Amino acid sequence: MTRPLSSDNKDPSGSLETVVAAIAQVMGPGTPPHRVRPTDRLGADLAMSSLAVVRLAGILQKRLGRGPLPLHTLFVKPDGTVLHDIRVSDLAEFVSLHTGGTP
Amino acid sequence: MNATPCTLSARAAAIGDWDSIAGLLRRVFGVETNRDILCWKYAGSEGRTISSAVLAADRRIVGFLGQIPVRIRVAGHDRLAAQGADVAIEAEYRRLDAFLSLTDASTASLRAAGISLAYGIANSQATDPLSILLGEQRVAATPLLVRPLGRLFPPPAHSRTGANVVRPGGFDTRFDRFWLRIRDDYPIMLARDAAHLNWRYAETSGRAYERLAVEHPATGEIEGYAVLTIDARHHGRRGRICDLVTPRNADPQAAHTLIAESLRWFQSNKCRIADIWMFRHTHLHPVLLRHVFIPRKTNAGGLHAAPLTPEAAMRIPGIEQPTRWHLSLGDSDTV
Repeated sequence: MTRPLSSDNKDPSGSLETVVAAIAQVMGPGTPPHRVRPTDRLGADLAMSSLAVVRLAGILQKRLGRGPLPLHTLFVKPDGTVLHDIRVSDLAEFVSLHTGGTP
Repeated sequence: MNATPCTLSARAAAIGDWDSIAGLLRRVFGVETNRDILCWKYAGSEGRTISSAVLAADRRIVGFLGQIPVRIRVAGHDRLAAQGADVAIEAEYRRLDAFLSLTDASTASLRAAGISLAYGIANSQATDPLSILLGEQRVAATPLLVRPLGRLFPPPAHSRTGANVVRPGGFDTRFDRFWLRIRDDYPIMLARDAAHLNWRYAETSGRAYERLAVEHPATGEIEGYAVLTIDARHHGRRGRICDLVTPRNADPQAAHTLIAESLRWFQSNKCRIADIWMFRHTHLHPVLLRHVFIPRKTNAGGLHAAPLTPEAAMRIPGIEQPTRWHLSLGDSDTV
């Protein structure tokens, strides 16, 4: 079960760039920003662990100067089912939504 | 950029999986366990595995999420709940999608079984994934109290209170009556009926517990009980009070007697320290302080709880409030 990819890859709010930079920071030198694509799934493609995603959330919060982001709303649907993975673009859309931008 | 290609699939754990799961826990945590222990642990007093899940890669089990079915009394109603226990994923498969697949398989089983509440005692590593990724609420830090033992801190001498302390081999129907007496002392309590107590502390597989009870001198009814164990993993032996239960509005003498007897048993077994979990709002907390138990700050982690659906959240209000809970070491898989 994976979220559908956004149909366009525009990044008017700069959220995608922010997310990609944060992913590169978490993953270290083996994953430079230019190797991270919007279509990459955090788990299956980038091999990020759940702890790495937690660190990613912390970095995003710091970069965005915000309190806790409700990241769990990306993974847990209202009916309680759990998504198995998300794409980089999904996270960028989420960041854009929660920082007042337009996805 | 692609991770190691493999097909990961998560599903409910089945009876035939326990040997593989034991091997997985050995590889991941270095703990020795076996099919009998796992069957006992994950079937709970319900006698059936309900919500544990495994992750398979090319038919090999590489991940496990263990949940123990328990009954919790919440605001006057008994509910089937799931106590989170082990989460183990082999290092090379420790990816977000593996963790979330396992979680989803387990959650689906919980819902299918009509389980609406999950809780667990998370360690510092598990706390952030549970709260940040899954939205589970951290209710409270682990309410640890410790008491030194040894020559400088001797246990109380025998007292002549008239209380009759016994060491029951198991938990008989008197404990069912005792549970009926105390079951609404706190809004949220694990159901401590005889079936649960026998599963947890008497008919165990691979664990030994010392059971103490105070009987009423005239009627023989149960006035309180304690369950003890010794954790030999620690340097110098650590005595642990897994459970200490007395009625909330009764004379505290039964609690004093049980605590004193517990400390004497630990001392006779050469323990150098004793510990217990007890929330500050409970009636037993001040009694423990009088016996020189000292509250200790604990690291990240602690009690987490989550309703599994929005409907459950409506039916089970207030689970995020620590003062509604009664929690003991034995309500976790720590001991």
